[in-house]
Formats: sequence, C-alpha cells, structure tokens
Amino acid sequence: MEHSILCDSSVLISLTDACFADIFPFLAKKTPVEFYITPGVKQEIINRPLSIQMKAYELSAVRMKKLLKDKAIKYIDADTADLTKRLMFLGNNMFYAHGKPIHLIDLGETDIIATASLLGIKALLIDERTTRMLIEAPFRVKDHLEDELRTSVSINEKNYYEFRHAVEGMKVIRSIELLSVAYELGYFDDFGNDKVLTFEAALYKTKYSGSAVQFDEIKELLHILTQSN
Amino acid sequence: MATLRKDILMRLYNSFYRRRYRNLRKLYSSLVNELVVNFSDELLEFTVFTYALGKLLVKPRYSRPEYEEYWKEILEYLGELKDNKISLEKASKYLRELFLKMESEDPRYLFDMLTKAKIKTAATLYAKGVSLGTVAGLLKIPKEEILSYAGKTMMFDRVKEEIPVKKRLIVAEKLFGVEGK
Repeated sequence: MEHSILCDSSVLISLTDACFADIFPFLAKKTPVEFYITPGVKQEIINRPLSIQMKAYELSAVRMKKLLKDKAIKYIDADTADLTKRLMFLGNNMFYAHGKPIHLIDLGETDIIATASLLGIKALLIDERTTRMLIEAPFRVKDHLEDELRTSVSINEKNYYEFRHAVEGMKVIRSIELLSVAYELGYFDDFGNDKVLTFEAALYKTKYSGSAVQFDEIKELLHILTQSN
Repeated sequence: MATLRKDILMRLYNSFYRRRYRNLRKLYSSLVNELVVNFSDELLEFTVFTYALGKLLVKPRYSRPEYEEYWKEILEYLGELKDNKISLEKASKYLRELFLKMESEDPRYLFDMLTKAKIKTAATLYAKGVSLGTVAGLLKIPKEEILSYAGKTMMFDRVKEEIPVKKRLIVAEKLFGVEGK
C-alpha cells in the first residue's frame, strides 16, 4: 500500500472546518495517493454527529459522508482489536509521574496506528499533536510533560521500545503539508493573482481551526513555496 | 475516592480568603497538572469551579453586599475541605448548588462561564500533552470544540517540533509524486 494514507479525525475536522474538504478529491484525482479512514474515524466524524443530530457539526459530517460516497476518501478495516489493546497499554504506560502512569492516548488514536501497522501503511495524516509526537519523537513527549507538569517524568523502557518497534517507518504529515502539496499541484490556481494570498490564508485558517502547527512553520512554508511567485 | 494534596487545598483556601485572583489562576494550573496524573470526575469539576471562582472574584457585581453571604459559605466549604472534614466530591456538590443559588434569577452567565471553563480545561490538558481523543473522552466535549479553542491560543507554538517543516514537506512531496522546489 505504497501510496496509501490513513487519516486521523483531527485532520478531517481541521480541513472541513476550514472549508477545504474538496482537497481530498482534488489530490485523489491528480496523484496516485489514496486516502483511507478506519471504522472508528467514520463513526466519530460521520455516523455519530448525524445519528445524534449534533447540529453544530452536521454540515462537516455531511461533507465527509459525500467524500466517502464519491470515493475521494475510502473506508478500510482490519482486525486490530488485539494490537490496539496492546498499543494502548504501551502508550499509556510509557511515561510515569509521581510513580503513576500517565494516560496519554485513547482507543481511536491507537486504532489508527494499529491499522497502519497491520496493513503496512506507512503514511499517516494526523494533526493531533500527542499521537504524532509519540510516533515521531517520544522523548520530546517526556521533555514536554516535564516542562508542563514541573516534575520529573520517567520512562518505562520496555514499553517504549516495543511501541517504537510498532511504529517504525511510519511518517506523519499534517494538514499544512497537504495544503502545500495541493498548492504545488494548482489547487489555488483559480484565484489567479490572489493564489499566494489564498494559500497563505488557508494555512493560517487551518492553524486557527486547531491544526497543531506553528506560526514559524507557516512562514517557512510560504518562503519555500512562494518566494519565486 | 478522589483526593487533593494538602498544600494545594491550603493555597486554595488562603487565596480565596485573601481574594487573590492571580493566585487562584496559578492554582488552577496546578489542578490541571493534577488532572493529567490523577484524573477523576470530581477533580475535574473542582478544577472548573476553581477557575470559575477566580473569574467571579474580579467581577465588580459579585463584590456587592448581597453576595457576601455566598462568599462566606464558599470559604466555609473550602475550610472544611482543607481540614479533611468533607470529601472533594461533597465540596464540589456544595459549590455547584451554591453557584446555582447565586444566580437563581438568571443563571445564564454562570452556566456559560462554567461551560467555557470546561472547554478551557480540556484545551489546557491537550496543551500539556494528553491526546485530543483522551481529553474529549474524559471531559465529554467534542473534539471540534477543543480544537476550535486550542487553535486560537499559542499552545502549539510553545513546543519545539522535532522534524523541521522543510523535511516534512519533502516527505509529503515524495508521497504525492510532486517535484519540489
């Protein structure tokens, strides 16, 4: 599944809230990449808001339902129960403060990692910061917890290494990288002379919609991609 | 049964007794740290009330004489809590009832403030390192609400990213078959 990307709900929420749901059909048409969501993500972002009539989120849910119907995003399932349970245990017993394990991740987030691991999907689309840092740099999670909690945090090395093995080779991209690639492929070309301005506005909008990105990162992306425009 | 450290309870009592708003804000942060390690519904409710108390202290309306009896009652509950005469759960229950009494004619302000305090607590827990899904599940708040609040703060700018954005872009470009600049 070389060109498959497994999507977390956090990215779908950020992009849909910022009115960029159509980035998925755009990229699916222009590139060999296929976007996938798990049953848990589908339940969370489509089924639940529609079934209990969460009016504030119904529009986003309907938009995402259409993405599934149009196959811009596809549904994928795997028998992840055992691996998810194991990864949840590892993730939530990796760091300790005052002798107690710190509960960091939940079922939905772990299920995505388990699905990716079982199906050999190496690319994950995640805006949610904690899960992303656990995959990319768990020691940063430790440092961050120590800074925030103002206490020493210890690591259970056995759980740490087993978790690291499970996520080995996985790469995480965020909504701003997705928007950047879309920009390079002409997603904002319809805006003519305002193409760069619109791209910049899109990056900031996704940040304000909750994507875990920094102002400096946005500035750097703009510098890399638009300096010749 | 949820409990709180004695020093936190002492600080809470003293800060409220002296009407020190800033101290209550710092205490709120300590309580959120406690939530990261020792989450319970009682502690969550108490944390939200601590935030609310700090907000009420700075509102001129609540300095009026007709509210004095309520402040005395709150101080009494906090005193009993620090002296271990009542549990955290009981204290939260009393505070909840008291808040409702304080604004019995128009509870919208307090209700609104308590709702916002809960969302703020959720976003702060996320900022401290607990995952979005975990926070949403524990506090029973939609992820969308937490993201919407968190996105408008500086929380994501305070943590140094491990992977430079240039490298992330290259990974994304390679995945999508885009020739980068």
